Amino acid sequence: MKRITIDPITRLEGHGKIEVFLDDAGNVAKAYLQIPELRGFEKFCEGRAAEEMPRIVPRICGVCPEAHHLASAKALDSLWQVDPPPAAKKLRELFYCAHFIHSHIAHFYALAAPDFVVGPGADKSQRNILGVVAKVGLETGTQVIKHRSYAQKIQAMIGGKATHPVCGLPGGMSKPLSEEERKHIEAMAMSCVDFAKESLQIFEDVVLKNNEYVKLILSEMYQLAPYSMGLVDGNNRVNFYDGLVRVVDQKGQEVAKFASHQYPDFIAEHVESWSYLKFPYLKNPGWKGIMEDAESGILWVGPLGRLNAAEGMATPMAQKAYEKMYGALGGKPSRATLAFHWARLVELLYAAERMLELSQDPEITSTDIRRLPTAIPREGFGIVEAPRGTLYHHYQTNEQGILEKVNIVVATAHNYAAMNISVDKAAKGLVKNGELNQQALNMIEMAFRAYDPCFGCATHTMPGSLPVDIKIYNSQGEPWINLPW
Amino acid sequence: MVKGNTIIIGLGNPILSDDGVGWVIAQELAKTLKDEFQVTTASLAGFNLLDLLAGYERTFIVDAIQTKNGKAGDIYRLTPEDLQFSRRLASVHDINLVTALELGKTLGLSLPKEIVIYAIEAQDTLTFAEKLSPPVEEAVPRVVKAILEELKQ
Repeated sequence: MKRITIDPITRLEGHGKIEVFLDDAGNVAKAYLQIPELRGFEKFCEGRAAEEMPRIVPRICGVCPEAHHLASAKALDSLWQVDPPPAAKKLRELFYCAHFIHSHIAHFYALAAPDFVVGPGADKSQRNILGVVAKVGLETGTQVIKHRSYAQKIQAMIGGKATHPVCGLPGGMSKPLSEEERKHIEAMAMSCVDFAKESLQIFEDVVLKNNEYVKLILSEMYQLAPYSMGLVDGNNRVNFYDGLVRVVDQKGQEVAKFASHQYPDFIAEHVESWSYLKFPYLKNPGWKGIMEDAESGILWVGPLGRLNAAEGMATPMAQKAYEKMYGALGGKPSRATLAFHWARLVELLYAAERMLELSQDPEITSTDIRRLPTAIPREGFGIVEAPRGTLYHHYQTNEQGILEKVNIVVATAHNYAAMNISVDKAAKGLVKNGELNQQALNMIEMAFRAYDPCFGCATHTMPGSLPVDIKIYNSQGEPWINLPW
Repeated sequence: MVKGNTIIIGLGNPILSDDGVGWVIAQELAKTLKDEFQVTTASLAGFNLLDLLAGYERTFIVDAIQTKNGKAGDIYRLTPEDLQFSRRLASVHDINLVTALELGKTLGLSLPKEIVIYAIEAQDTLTFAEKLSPPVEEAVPRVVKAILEELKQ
C-alpha cells in the first residue's frame, strides 16, 4: 500500500483553462476560457434502446442528473408522439421544482455567498460556507441543510432515488403519488417557501445594504449584453419544465419563440479551433465572433437569462421579488452578470411556491399517470430548463426505437460565448502594466461562477478547488506565467 | 434502512471508464458481505454525501483519484485529515468532503467517528465506457481484500 504525498491533486485532463494574452504594454489583450469535454457520450448511446436514455443521461455528469432525466423523458414523449396525462406532467414539474430548490440552495450558500458574505477580496481559505455560517449564524446553516435535504426527500419520493431518478417514462411517470406522500410534501413545501423568503432577506441585508457590493454588481467589468433565452408558459412567465423557448434582445424585445422540435431552426453551433466545446448561437443574426452586441447571436441562459427572457413569474411572491430586482437593477433586461445570484434566489422562491401549489393540486395524486406509446418512433426533441439554463435533447432512432443519432446541448454550452466575454472583461484587471494582481484571480472566478458552469463530471473532483488553470502569455505569445488555481 | 453501524460507499460514474472503479469495488463487496454491512454506490459529493454518512459510526469511501505522477492502479488509503489541504468550499458546484464534514460537525450532525477513503489511481476518466482499464481492473481484488480485512478488526 502506498502512502500518498499530497502534491496538489487534480484531474490532469479535466481542467478548464483560461488563457490570457498580453499586449506590448503588459496589459491583457484577450482572454479565453476553455472547457474540457467528456468524450464520446453520443457514441456510447448509439445502438441502445431509446427507452434506456432517461436512465443513462443522468450519468453524463453528477451535477444535474434530474434535468437530463426530464429532458430525456420529454424527448421520448416526442419520439413516440405521446402526450402524458396532466397528472404525470404535474408530477414531473413537482419533482423538478424540488430539484431547483436543491440546486439553487447549494449554489447560493456554498458557492455564491462566500464572495459576498465573507468578501470578494478575502483569502480563499476563508471564502467558504463555514465562513458564511460563521457570519450569518448557525441557525441559518441548519436551515440550509434542512431545506436542501427536504428537496432531496421530495425528489426521492417521486423519482425513486434522490439523485439519478428513474421515474420518467415515454408517455408519463412510473408511480403515482400517495395521499400520505402528498401531505408530507405539502408540509415541506410550506417550510421551503419561508426559507426562500429568508434567503432573499439575507441577500438584501448582506449584499444590497452594502454599497461596495452594489457597486461591484453594477460595475462595468461585470456587465454583458447578449440575447437572453429561457422557457416561458402561455403568459410569457418563467417555467422550468414546459412551454416555449423565448429569446429577447438587448432591449428586451422578443426576437424568437419556438417549440423544442424547432430548436434547430433557431439555434446553430459554431466551432472554434481552440476549444472542444461548440458555441451555440442564434441563427438570426448569426455568428459574428465572440462579441456582445445585437450584431452577434450570442445568448445567455440560466437564472438571469430566464428572468430577462420572460415577462414575470407565475407565483405571487416571486413576482414581487422579480419586480423588486429589476427595479433595483435599473430595468429589464439586466446586463449585470452578478445579478445571476439574485435571479437564482427569485427562482428559489418561485420553485418553492410552485411546489406548494402543485402539492395542493387535487390532481397530483391521480393514478392516471401514463399513456402507453403506440406510434412508430423516428425522431424526438426535449427541452427543459436546467438550473443553469436551457437543456436540449434530440434523438433519432430506427423503427425499432434503437438510437441512431443523439445530440445534447447543455446550458454551459449555451453560455459558453457569454462566459468567455465575462472572463475576458474580468481578466483585464488581472495584469496591469506587467504586474500581477492576485485579487483579480477571484474576480475572474466570480465572473464565471455566476453562471454556475458545468465542467463535465464534477461529481468528485478533488481537492475541491476550482478546476481551472490560468496561463498568461506575453505579447510574443511566449508563456509568461502559469497560475494553478 | 440501517444495517449495523458501518457503511461502505462506492463513488463515481459507472459509465465513465475508470471513474466507475468505486462502484465495481462496492458491488464486489456487496456480494461477500451480504447483510452484515450497508454497502451502497453513488455518484454524489459534498452535501449529498453528508446525507449518506449521517447516522453511521464507521464509513469506507471508495473512489477513483488522479494524482500528479500517479501510476494507474495504485491504491491509497486516506483519512479526511490527509485531505485537509483541500479545505476550501468554493468549488464549481458543491462543497468537498472535508468541508462537508466540517460543516456537519459545526451544525451538530451525527457523523461517523471513523472515515477511511480508498482511492484508486485512474487512467481514463474522460471516455464514456463501462469498462475499467487493465491496471485499474487489476487493483479491484486488492482493494476488496484490504477493506474486508479492515472490517474484521
